[in-house]
Amino acid sequence: MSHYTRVATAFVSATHIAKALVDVGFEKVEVFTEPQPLRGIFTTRAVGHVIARRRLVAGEMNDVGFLRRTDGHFDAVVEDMDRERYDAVWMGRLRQRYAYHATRDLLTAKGFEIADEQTDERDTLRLTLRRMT
Amino acid sequence: MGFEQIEVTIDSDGRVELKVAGVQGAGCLALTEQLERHLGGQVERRLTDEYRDTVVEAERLELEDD
Repeated sequence: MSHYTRVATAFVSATHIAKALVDVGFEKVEVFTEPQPLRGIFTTRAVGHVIARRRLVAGEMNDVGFLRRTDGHFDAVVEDMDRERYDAVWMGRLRQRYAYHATRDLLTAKGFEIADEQTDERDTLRLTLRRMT
Repeated sequence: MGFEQIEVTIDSDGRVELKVAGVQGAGCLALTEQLERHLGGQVERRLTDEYRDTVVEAERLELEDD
């Protein structure tokens, strides 16, 4: 029996979590309206609304999940043996990609267009959007 | 014809800073609040001259009402 830990996040959008997970390298990310089981090398009862499926060829033994709390925010659901792989640096990269997609999607839906997009040597992302008035 | 501009800075840890220019007072606040809701938390904002101009104008109106 495996043991998963839930880690609170500020994420509120399943769609943007899924886009961020693809950006950090997952090839198969699924989004569900009801929580579905995560798969791992051991039997588990862990579930998630967003599930990044493990890539066995990449040495990933377990899925990573995101489970929606009653307050609308998501918890990351990570197998204890994977805590080093999905550490604070990894979560930072995921937060960056989530923020990128959430900001971009909201502002383009409001008529803004991307005027410039750059990433500097410290991996800070700068996005400039404009809307004619 | 002018334009509204938003500069978004996202560091490698996912911290977001917004700089909004050309969006008048309340509209600027509404837009950043919507973004905060999308991002699920606090976003650092920088108020622009347009926002401050609107606030000063509102204070002036309140004084005139008295």
